[in-house]
Parts: sequence; structure tokens; C-alpha cells
Amino acid sequence: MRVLTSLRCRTVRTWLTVAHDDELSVGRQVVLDAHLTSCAPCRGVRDDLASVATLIREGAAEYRPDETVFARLAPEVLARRTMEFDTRWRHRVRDVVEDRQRLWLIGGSLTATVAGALVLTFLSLAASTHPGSLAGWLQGSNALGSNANPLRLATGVTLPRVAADTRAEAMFMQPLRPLGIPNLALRAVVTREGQVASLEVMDDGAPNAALTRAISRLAADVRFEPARARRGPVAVNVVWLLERTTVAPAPDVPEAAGGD
Amino acid sequence: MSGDAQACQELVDTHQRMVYHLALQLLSNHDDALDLSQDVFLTVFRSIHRFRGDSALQTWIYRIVINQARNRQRWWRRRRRADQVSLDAVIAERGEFAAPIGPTSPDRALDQKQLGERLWRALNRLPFDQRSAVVLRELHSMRYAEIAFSLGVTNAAVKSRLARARQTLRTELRPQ
Ligand SMILES: [Zn+2]
Repeated sequence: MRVLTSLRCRTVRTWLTVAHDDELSVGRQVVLDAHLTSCAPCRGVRDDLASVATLIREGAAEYRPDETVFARLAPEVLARRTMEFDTRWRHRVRDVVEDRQRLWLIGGSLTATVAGALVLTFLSLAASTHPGSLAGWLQGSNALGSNANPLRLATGVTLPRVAADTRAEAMFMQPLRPLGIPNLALRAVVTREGQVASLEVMDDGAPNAALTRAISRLAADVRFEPARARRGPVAVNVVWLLERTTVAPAPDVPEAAGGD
Repeated sequence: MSGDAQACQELVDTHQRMVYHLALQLLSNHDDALDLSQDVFLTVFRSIHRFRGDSALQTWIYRIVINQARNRQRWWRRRRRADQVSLDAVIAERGEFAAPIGPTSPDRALDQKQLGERLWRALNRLPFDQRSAVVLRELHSMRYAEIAFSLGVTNAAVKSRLARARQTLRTELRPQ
């Protein structure tokens, strides 16, 4: 009988913690309640569990957060997030630039691939002035196709497009997915032969020589269907302005999940 | 503010208290908790496309908090080992906690407070998953299934962790 009682206490004690959490089945709860009415040591364990819980809650109340934390948290997170985008973008560009297999994408799939990328303007007839600022570029580019001097589609100029046989190689933006991109602008001439020439890269408003060299090297392998006017292929100046988007890139983060 | 930034702001506003409190309860340090909270939200933003809705968003965020706190803890432990300084030694040196009470302590309220401190010290010494289980259950009122999801373990493992943790904590109630 003694053995039976102690066995029952042992079993009951494994239930006590579950009962404390309100997760014990009804059947077991009934048995447990009956046992507790007649067993002081088990009641003691039950009371201990309650005391532990109370003390933990009281202790937690002592850890009162500084309320200003909550005013700061969101702005700080958003700022870090923006910084992270910029850093990632730069790293990605560097990685891609170091990878000769992948080529700078210019052309039809650009807008499909980079959300928010804006093909700003183009004009016929390459006029290779190279003003040193983005504003200068845009102004230069607007000689034709601007409000003051609109390019009339009636002239039948078609945009240059990446030639089908180099398109796959030119899809380097593809792995980036829609991406947060800082203010990056590319200016180039697409020649009558469908090559990219005089490429320049503006990074955040300033010319970036290293990026220009690297991307020019990659772009050298891309072929375009040249722009066409009525008379045939024409060289065009092209400016691509890549706007910042806030769509998340494909993350390189470990799974949130994890065992122990 | 763009739509995306707005959404981020709302997500932070909705969950920051829970995230910060849990981080604080697991790490016991305000700066670390703030830092962890930022990391958690960045992780949420990065990986929200993986959220499949098979749990409540909040439970999913709990899981991220737990994972990141666990990783930090591992890092600390390695570092502590390298530095040969125990957390207890640091606490003893800074005198953050009063000495354990004796059985003859006259002030009941003080007893209770000191007992609470002793219990928290014991809680902080528990293995991470036992401590997390206790915190999630007692302070966040989570069900076993939610705790299991957050810790990435089975319900049975949650039960046994809670049982073991409470076994240890109960001994702290006795005069030492
Ligand atoms: Zn009993």
C-alpha cells in the first residue's frame, strides 16, 4: 500500500506541472484533484509551483523597459534596413562585377526585373558630351525627347533591345530579384552596330569610375538590336535611372526556424 | 513614407512590446534587448516572404526572437569561456543582487523581493530552452503547442523542459 501510494504521488507530480499550465486532460484532472485532497506533500508541490510562477511574474515586473525605447525602435530599425539595402546592393554589384559570367542587363527585361527601375529617356543620334553631373546628363539627354523638344514616336524610332542571343547572359539582374537600389544612373550610347559605348555610371549623384570600368567591361559582351529610325539603325544615347525601391531582395538569411 | 515603410512601421508598432519584453526577459539587459529587437525586426522583414501562415504571425515572431536570443547566448558562452569570467562573478562584483536571504530575515516584503531575485538568478542559470519555456509559459501565457513551435521542439519536450526547470526553481524557495 505504501508503495502504491508513493507511485501514485510520483505519477501525480508529473501531472502537477501540466495541471498548473491548464493543459491536463479532464480525466486526469479529476484523479489529480481527488489525490490532492488527501495528500499534503503533493499539495505542497502544487503550491510551490504557484509560488514560483508568482515570483517570476513579480520579478519580471521589475524589468520595466524605458518607454523611450518604443519611440526609437521603429526609426532605428527602418534606418538599419535602408542601410542594409545600400550595402547589399553594393556588395551584389561588386560580386556580379567580379563574375565574368554575368553581364550587365540593359534592355527589355530591365523593367520586368527591377521593380521601380525607370527607363527615363532616350534620344536619337549620339551626341557625346559628358557633363559631370546627373543633372547635366539628363539635360543633355533631353535635347530630344524632352518637354521642350519631344521626340515624336511618329518618327518611328524604336528602342534598342538586347539581342536575343545575349539576353540570357545579360540577365544579371535576375538573381537580385526586385531590389532596393540607391540612386544609380547609367548613361551609354547604343551604337548602330548594337554595341554599348561610352558607358558611365553615376552612383548617388557622383561619377563612379570603378563601377564604370567594371560595368563597361561586362557590357562589352552584350549585343543590342540597335534602335531604328526610318532610314535604318541609329545610335542612341540612353540613360537608365534606377530608382530606389523598397521591395525586399532575396534574403541570404538563415531560416528563422531551428531546433536546439 | 512609402507603402512598404508604412507597413514596416506598423509591424514594429504592433509587436515591439512583445519582442522587447521577451528579449529583456531572456537576456536580462536593456541594451542587449534593444539590439536584439532590432535584429529580430530586420530578420522579420527579410524573411517575411517565407511566412506561410501556418502559425500566427506573432508566434512566428516569437520563434525568431527565441532563435536570435539562443544564438547570442551561444556566442556569449563561447566568449565567457574564452575570457574565463563567469556571469555570476560579474554579478557578484557589481553587487546587482542582494545576498540570499537567511531564515531569520525580519521583513516579509523584503524576503519576498529577495526570494524573487534569487529565483531570477536561478532562472538565468537554467539551460536556454528550459528558461525560454518557463518565460513563454509564465510571462507570455503561451500554450504548449505555441511554445513547441517557438522552440522548434515537440510538445512532449516542452512538458519535460518545464518540469525540469520547475524542479530546479522549486529548490530556490527553500532557505539556503
Ligand atoms: Zn501525493
